[in-house]
Amino acid sequence: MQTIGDLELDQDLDVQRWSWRVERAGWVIIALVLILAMLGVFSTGPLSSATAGSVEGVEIDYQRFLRNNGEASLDILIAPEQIVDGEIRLWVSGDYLEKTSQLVIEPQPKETVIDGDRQVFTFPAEASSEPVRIAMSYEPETIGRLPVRIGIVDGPSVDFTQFCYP
Amino acid sequence: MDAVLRAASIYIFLLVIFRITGKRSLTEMTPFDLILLLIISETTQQAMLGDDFSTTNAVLVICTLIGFEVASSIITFRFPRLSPILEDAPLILYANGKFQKEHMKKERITEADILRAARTNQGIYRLDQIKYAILEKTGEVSILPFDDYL
Repeated sequence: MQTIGDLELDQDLDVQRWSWRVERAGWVIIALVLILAMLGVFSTGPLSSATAGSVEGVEIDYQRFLRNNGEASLDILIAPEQIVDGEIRLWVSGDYLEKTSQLVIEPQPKETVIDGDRQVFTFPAEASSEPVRIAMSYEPETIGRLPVRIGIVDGPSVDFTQFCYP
Repeated sequence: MDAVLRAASIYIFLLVIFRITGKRSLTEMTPFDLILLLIISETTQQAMLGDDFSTTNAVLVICTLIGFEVASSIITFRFPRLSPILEDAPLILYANGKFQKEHMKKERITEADILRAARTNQGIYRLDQIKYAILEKTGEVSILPFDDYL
């Protein structure tokens, strides 16, 4: 306890100055977090949106950054050349399926076949000149890297990795 | 394990975030501050409980929070030097006729704030009646009048 005049007070100016500095640094960090969040570093935003694959085969719009148990979606564009015998046979890798839940595919596949460590979804499709769109929504159930591999059976495939925040 | 880790990380995050908002943060509660506090607790609650509404989860989360609270009070008691870091310390704002301008600026407290504290707590209405004004670590301003005005 310190005596200042006739006042007994545990004022400690050195620690106080240090604590003001930390306080100011903290404000800067909060501002940075907000800016990064607006840019999409914590999912959804310009820095997070990405596209993988190619227009001639399979092209997927995805978010680089996801959150554990948050909602995520993939927008899959399939070139018309990939429609074989009136159907599209899309496969999704097992390690991705293992780390996600609540997978909903729109439109619904006609059948789902387990093929080793991957699943094959079959969609009936008319021949067309426009790319076909399939949307997948899911909830990641992992923290850290979430590898995704999606492709057409006996056709092109796309590989990318998403990052999952706690 | 999840429940304890979630509650612990939220506890530490809240401790840090409220520490860096400064002493003034939420002690002088305006109606808006109250609403803000409710929104913060609502947001925190969901992250802390996850989607597990079981009694076990609630018990674990509460035990973690209380455990951290007790631990931090033991730490600050055993190591008094850590107390100003974890809990902040009092600060003189006004002493014997002189404002401590630097302190007031850093804590965002105006002369009007000091006079208001004097009026509401001590029935004092002039600066020359005040001997000391101290910003306590809890965020309120203590007013100590000259003996003649007691």
